[in-house]
Amino acid sequence: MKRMTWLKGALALSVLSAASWAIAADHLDAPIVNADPLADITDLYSWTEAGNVIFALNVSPLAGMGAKFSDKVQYVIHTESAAMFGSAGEKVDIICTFNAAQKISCWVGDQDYVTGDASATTGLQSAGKGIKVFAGLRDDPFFFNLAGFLDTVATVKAAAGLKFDAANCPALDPATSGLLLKKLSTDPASMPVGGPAKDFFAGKNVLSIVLSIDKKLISDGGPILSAWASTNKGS
Amino acid sequence: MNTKLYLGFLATSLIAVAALQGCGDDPANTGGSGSTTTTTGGGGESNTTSSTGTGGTNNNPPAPALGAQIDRFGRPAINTALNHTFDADAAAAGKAKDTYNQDGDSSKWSVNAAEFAKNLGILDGLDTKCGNQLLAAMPLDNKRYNTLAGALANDRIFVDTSAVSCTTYLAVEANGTMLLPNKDGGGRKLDYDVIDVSYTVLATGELMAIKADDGVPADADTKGEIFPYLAAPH
Repeated sequence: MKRMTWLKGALALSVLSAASWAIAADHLDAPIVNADPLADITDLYSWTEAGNVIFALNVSPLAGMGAKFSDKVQYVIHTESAAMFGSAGEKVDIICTFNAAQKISCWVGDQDYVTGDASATTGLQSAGKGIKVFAGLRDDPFFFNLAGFLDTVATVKAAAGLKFDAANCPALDPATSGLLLKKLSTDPASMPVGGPAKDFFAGKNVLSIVLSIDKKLISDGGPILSAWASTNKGS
Repeated sequence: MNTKLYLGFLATSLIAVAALQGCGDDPANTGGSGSTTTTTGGGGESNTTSSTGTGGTNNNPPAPALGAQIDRFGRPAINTALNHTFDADAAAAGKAKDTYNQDGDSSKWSVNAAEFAKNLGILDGLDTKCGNQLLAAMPLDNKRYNTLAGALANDRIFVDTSAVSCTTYLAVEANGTMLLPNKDGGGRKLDYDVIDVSYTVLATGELMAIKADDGVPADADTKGEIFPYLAAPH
């Protein structure tokens, strides 16, 4: 089996990216967003709290201290609420935009709206009280042993010879499997080698839009809410 | 929730997702259809107009129409790990990832399932055993990973807004199919260790203990309990 094929198998040791441009959950995952980091979504988080639904939409991986949201990008969370999991639902888009001065404007469907300076950690609240939003630089909460993953990849690059079955599953011997799995969870730079893993994202920042939304605004279809985020070109 | 329970919960949740996917190939079966909004087309164009240009009922200014989509995100690591991740041709893989990011029409996302299945196959062999990945079907033919791939192609997270709290990734999917009834809100909180769970389930198929992990636990910066939850920048 060709070395590149072997490499493919080892790269799969991670559910994170093995491609040269990709480093994490969704950080730097494709060429277009690499060139436009302010539109590069790193993560979306969502949970409930006291009658509200919390969203954290993070962009701009490895953001510097001076990073600002783009005034040419729309930051969107697409929600759909349904009575039951698997049922058809009601869609509501949450859209946030910024101007050059970082004044934010957010819409929750046509139900509520807020605009102003959302940089204070106390949050900016809408007149209707259905939206509270913060926008600014924060710690990147994603955690991952990137060095261990890269060390695994490097190890695999030196290997050769694998067979794949009809479903693209590679055959690994126990020694190789054990070695690669260990490398995933250790720090190759430690002395001695194989020391505790380190979180690459510790101390790294992202730009974050944190929204606390009154669940009544986004649950017309029922309590089961699905969500995905997008960045879109603004006018 | 401890690790064992967490993994068991995850496994059941994924089974639940897959069960729904098994009802049809349209990802809308898991919540992507029947909306009251107007779909304006997929590809890289605007997807919905529910909140765009409608003015509003509270004298609010109209929301802007959505422009061409640049990036998208539902569950962590889907595009990076399962979409042409291991292709030798980096340029072609990058183009495919861009296409994935720009697709705003969720009713067509199932088109990605075939590619996801290829990548799931690679992951399955990492513990030296092909066929023990979660939801991997017998016989060990080329369709073995289609069920899980179909479920993951519907790339979004689910939250039960009636729940008191959220503690477990994919809990809503598990409850929704009654395979593991629970009252958890699911979703994704800052401290969910989605990497360790994904390593283990996808690479080893183990459900009751972490067998493949990255050695990095959630830290204090993921424990925020007060708005805006995320820790201060460094």
